[in-house]
Amino acid sequence: MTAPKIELRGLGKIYPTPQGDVDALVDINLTVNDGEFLCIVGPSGCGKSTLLRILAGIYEETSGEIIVHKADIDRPLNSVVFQEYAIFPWRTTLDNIAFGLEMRGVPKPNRMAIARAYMEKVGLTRFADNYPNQLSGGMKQRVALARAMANDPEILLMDEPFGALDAQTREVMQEELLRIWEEDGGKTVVYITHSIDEAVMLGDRVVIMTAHPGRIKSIHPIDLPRPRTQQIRGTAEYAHIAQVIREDLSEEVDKAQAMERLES
Amino acid sequence: MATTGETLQATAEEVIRKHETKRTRLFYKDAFYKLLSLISPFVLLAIWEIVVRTEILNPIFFPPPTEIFKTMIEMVQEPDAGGFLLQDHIAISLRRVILGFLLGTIPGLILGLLIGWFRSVRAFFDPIIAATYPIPKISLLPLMLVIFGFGETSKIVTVAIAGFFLVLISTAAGVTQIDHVLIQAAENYGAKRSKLFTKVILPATLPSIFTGLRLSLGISLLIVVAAEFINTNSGIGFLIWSSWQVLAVKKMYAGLIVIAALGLFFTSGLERIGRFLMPWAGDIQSRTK
Repeated sequence: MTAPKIELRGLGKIYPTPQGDVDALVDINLTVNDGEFLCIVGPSGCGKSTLLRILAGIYEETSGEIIVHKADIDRPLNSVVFQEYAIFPWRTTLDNIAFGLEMRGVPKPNRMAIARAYMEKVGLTRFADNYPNQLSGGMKQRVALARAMANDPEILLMDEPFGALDAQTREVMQEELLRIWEEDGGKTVVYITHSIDEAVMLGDRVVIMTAHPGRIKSIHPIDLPRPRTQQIRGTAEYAHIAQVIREDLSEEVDKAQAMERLES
Repeated sequence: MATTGETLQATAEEVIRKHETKRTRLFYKDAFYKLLSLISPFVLLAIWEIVVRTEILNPIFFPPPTEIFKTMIEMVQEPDAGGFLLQDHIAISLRRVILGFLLGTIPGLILGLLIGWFRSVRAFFDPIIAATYPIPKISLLPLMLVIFGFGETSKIVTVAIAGFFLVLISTAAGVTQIDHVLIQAAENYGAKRSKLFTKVILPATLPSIFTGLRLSLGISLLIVVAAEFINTNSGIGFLIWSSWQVLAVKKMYAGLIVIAALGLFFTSGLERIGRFLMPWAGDIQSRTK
């Protein structure tokens, strides 16, 4: 379980803007272990979404290198769950979940059976034939989660997936995510969030990033037992870790806000 | 003594009954609004008939609906000076509209998709389109008459040019406005060029394409009527124009009614096709089926 899955070495990303180049990410060194649930927390504008999109192969890094240890050539390397859901409005719940399998050329009976199984796991069987405009935000994100899991990637990349949901729905979704992740045999997960509580609740380790430019500030192991449920929030260990991380991060948030004031 | 089970049953029945009455009430309300929409044209026609019969309005300019209707029946049965019945005029105009529409919208759709998707195609065509689009297409009719003569082709081509631009512009806009995260997701899930096009770009652009088609049909009717005003002896436009020249006002109204009906028919037909092709784009009917 401690074999490295993703290694980032001196990773950097520069965005060209009319006012000159902007460093989005500077010298990111990070190893994500196989089967690890890694959370990345940082103030807005710290480049955490950029980092995830580089890992997904959507954006290209400007410098440094990414080494990903691919284990199985038949499985897709990564699947992304986007904050904006990014499910297709013209596809029903079932067809959305089967999308990745369809693109990979899995025969229809097989992919439908797999999609149905994951639709069941996220509790959307009743909505199999509904289109996204008939689903709530939480349901849409369940579709997106099922689509990613059904694709059976080696790495699951999640970009603030529950950021747009209300607090109650978010907590339900966190538990469901953990349950499905554990049932699925524990894929490597990189999970971006701005919520410390969410990071501590979900992660094996929490990476804290600084803002402007985005760097790694510190990494905190979360030694809370699994399987975890919302009950864990009531424990002293949880409170302690969350507090340590909160203090660590608050410096960065202050800095980021001070910068914004200076710029405005 | 009633058991808990019986009490529960009774409560459930009560809830269901209340729900049912609410639904029936909703049903009647719906039916009432539909009825209002249905009778409104007849109310208008009745008022029209009354104000003309009582000579509040001049029957020479506003012949009563019943008279227009009688004229229409005559026109269906007796050919005009050119030997055409009303249905012949309709068929001739329809042929011009449909041929022109197809001739214009199909290339417009293809080029619109290319312009939307490929930056190089967009860069090349943008200035040309920007320069030619603002020309009112009907003003090209004389040029088309010079090139194609007085026959069918000049009318069909003018209709085609108008349809071409409208579909092209809305299709291209539809492609460029696709939510970028959908494309990122599709590519992340392994959609390559051709799959990306058929499974994402095309369905995402469909609503814009339909907007373009609807606008094109409307403009096609307009252009056909205008084109038929000059130098022709057939079509609805000719019917309206020639009736004006001899002050056959009732026949003029007949032509106007036909054109309105055609417009309505086309619009609702396209809407139906759109709903069939894009069940996902409609209103939310129910959360569960």
